[in-house]
Amino acid sequence: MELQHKLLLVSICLLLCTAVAISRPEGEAEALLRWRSTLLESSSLSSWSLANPTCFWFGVSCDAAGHVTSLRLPGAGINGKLDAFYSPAFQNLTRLGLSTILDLSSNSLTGAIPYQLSKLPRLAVLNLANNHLTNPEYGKLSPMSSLKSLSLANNDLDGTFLWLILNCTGRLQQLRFLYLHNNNLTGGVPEELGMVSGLEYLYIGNNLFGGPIPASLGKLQKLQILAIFNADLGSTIPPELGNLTSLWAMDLSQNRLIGSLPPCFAKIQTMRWLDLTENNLSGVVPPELFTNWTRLDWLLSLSGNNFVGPLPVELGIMASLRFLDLSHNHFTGTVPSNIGNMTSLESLDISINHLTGDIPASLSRLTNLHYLFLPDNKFTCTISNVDGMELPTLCQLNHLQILDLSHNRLSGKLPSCIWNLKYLQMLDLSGNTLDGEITIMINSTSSLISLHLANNNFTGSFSAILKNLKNLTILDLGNNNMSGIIPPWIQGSNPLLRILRLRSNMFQGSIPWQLLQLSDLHLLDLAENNLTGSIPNNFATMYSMCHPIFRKEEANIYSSLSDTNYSFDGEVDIVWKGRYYNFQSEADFMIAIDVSSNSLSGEIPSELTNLRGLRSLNMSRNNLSGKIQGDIGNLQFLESLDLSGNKLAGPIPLSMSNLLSLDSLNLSNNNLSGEIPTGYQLRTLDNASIYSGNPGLCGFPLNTKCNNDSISTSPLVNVNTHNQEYETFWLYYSVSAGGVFGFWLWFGALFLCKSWRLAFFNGIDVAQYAIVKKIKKRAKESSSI
Amino acid sequence: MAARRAVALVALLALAAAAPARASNDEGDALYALRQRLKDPNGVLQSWDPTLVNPCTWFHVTCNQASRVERLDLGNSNISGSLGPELGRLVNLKYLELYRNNFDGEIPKELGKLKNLISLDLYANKLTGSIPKSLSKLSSLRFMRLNNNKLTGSIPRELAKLSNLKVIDLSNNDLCGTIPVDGPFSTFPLRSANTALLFSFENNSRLNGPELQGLVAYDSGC
Repeated sequence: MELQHKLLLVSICLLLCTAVAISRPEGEAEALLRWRSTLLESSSLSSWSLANPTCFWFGVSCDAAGHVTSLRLPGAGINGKLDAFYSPAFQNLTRLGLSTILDLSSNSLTGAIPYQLSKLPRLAVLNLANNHLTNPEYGKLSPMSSLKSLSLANNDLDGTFLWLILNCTGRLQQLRFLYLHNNNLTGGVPEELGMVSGLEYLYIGNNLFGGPIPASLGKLQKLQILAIFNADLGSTIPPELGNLTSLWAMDLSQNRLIGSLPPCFAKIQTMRWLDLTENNLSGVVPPELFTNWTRLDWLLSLSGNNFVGPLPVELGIMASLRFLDLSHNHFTGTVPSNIGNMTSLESLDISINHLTGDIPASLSRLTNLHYLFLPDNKFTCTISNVDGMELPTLCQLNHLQILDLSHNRLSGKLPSCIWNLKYLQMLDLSGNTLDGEITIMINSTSSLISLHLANNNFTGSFSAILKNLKNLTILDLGNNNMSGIIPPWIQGSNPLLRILRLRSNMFQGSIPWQLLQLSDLHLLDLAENNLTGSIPNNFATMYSMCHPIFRKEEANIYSSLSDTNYSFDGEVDIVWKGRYYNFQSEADFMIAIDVSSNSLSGEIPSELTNLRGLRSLNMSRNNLSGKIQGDIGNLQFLESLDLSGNKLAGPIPLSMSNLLSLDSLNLSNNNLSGEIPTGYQLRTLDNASIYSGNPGLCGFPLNTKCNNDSISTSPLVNVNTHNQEYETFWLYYSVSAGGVFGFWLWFGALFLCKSWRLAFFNGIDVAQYAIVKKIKKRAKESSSI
Repeated sequence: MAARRAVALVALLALAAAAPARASNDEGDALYALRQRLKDPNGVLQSWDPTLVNPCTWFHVTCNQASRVERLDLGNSNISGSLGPELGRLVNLKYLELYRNNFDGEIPKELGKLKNLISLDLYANKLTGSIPKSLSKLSSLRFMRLNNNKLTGSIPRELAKLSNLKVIDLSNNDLCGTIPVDGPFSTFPLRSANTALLFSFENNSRLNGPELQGLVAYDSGC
């Protein structure tokens, strides 16, 4: 009886306990805990325990009645899968009439998106962006009729995910925001997207969709942002997109779109941002676009297409536009002078077109301009000095930070008012026909960081530049007619110099040792000048060259447009592996010294091998003598080495075989001798001409064999010849050893053993006596006949 | 240009987009695809910027006059990962120096497309699989060094077609079967210092020795 009572009590207890367990808050809590237990990393969820009320758990929100309505855990460091996430306990959320938010973005979730998530019928916001999730099982998806915002951006989704979502989940009728960018979706942009009539933001760029832009997208009357950039789209732009009367931002950049801009785009009067960069669009830009886009106040970029025709005068209507980029097209004609009406412009780029004529004086009205790029056109313009008749246009652009007029046909002198632009940080006038001396007034307020005046006809010395531009980090005066010496005070006045390029001028005198005290200098090009004397030896102070550079320079120009800092240092031509190359931002990584084609004499400085970060060293065509440093193998990052055309003597150091990055070598026309070292990398430099003009050199890859069988440093020796050498060696050794042994055996015995000696000499006497006796007998016989 | 584009992209509502390679040149794309699959703890490939117009200013890449990649020198760089078919797109390549790293996986058969290749140095890695027959199409090849890997399978007898071959080193692998005796291999196993071909097949424990033509059938697949 007692036993039966006990059993009854226990079973009632069990019933009660399970009833409690099924009750709603605990069901959700246990489901969440069960999911957490499957995670690999969930330390941020430490507040999740049954001891705490569910509604106070980190990331959980509840309604007034205490039921879970949303889970927000963005960036919570969660690592694991979602397989165990769903539970029937969550179905209870349906009865509440409240919408649910599920945000697990920016974690390290992996595995497939569980199809069960589509069963949460009140789910309004689903954000799983920035994880590594893959496609769900499509066949089991339920309609998600209350979903308003879906973000699965930056995951590993692929295939025709979007089409399947639209067709398996009841068209997502409430959807307003769709973010699927940065995945691997394929199969074309589905036409069904045009039926999601409430869509406001569509971000599906950075995928592999391919195919055309569906005309049905034009039906999305509420669409505000259309972003399908970098999706391999290849078709014309459907004119139906002109019906998007709510649209204010369109980004179709980096596709393969063809054809021309539909003129009916003029109907999109709300347009504020249009980016069609890098497509294959062509034709003339319809001027009615500019007439009707009265609210275009942010960005217009048509860069990198094949647009032709003149720059429309209607451009001047866009008084609010801040960012205009028409670069890399085939625009012709002149720059309309009413461009001066675009007074809100902060950045203007019309580089790389076929524009001609003058830079319009009205540009001076664009006082908000921070960035001006006009390079690679055919602008002809004579700039007069401030003492001349007119103030040059550009000196009035007081906010200018970047001015790039390179590779045009500008002539005349450099206006000294340029140096008064207080905010100017980068000035590039390379590749014009400017001449005269460079004068800077002593009280100029320039904060210039990067100055490019290469490939002009400037004359005179550069002391004025050095003395007045103290913040210079990049100075490129290459290919001019400048002269004078490199001043010894350069380290004191321009300590921040990183790149100094004085190539192809008429600089003379010797290289001052103070130049080598510039501790930030990593690219020094003094080639093709008239420098004399010996190279100073204090390389140990060039700290920037002592180790390789792996990070680009800190951003030094602030852009208010995007509220970021970024670098734009211009470009520099570097002779690398025997050829000219144009380096842009990657010049930041280049550690190089080029003093070639001068009249430098003396020896290669011994401290040069301290510059462990050196990637390119060119001292060719001078009068250098002495040896190549024995420890040149220390320059582990050296890729390009040219010491040709000098009077270097002695051997090529064996440590050369340690240069495992070396892929361009020239030691020709010196007086080097001895065997060319071999090594893992040296044996791949098998062009004999890199050693030619050194009559004393021998060995691979030259045809001259070396006389002595010196042991080479080759890591692979032919196994067979090596064995053969051993055999011959042992043969000679054993023969001579045997001969020596036999000799000493015989004569050793004679020396040491008296009885032997006596017997031996006795024997000789006996033999001698017998022979003499015989001879006498013979003589007697013959004489008696 | 890249910097200017950064302005626009960042401004568009701060999308967390890593701008992918959009270089219009195929060789830069191929090399960048290679970089994507590799682990590079020493940062040797840091200068490989796919937004540049060609890869000729990338470190460890050497171009010819026509800006086509002629050399790839990544020896002794502590790189791991596998080699992929993209290497076959570097059709002007003459020197492929990937020795002394931690490359694993197989030798891609697409290397056979490199008609101009002079030197193939994949030695001292962890490569597995067999030597692709397609390497026999490398008609300019002078140096083939695949030693010190974990290569298995037989030495393709088609390699005897490589008439310019001067050095072949397949030692320290796990190759099996027989050694070809045609073409440049015809002087094997004579131990003469004057042989045109320098070769080494040492330390392949299952390698049987030279093909005995006419006496023993060539065993393909061992």
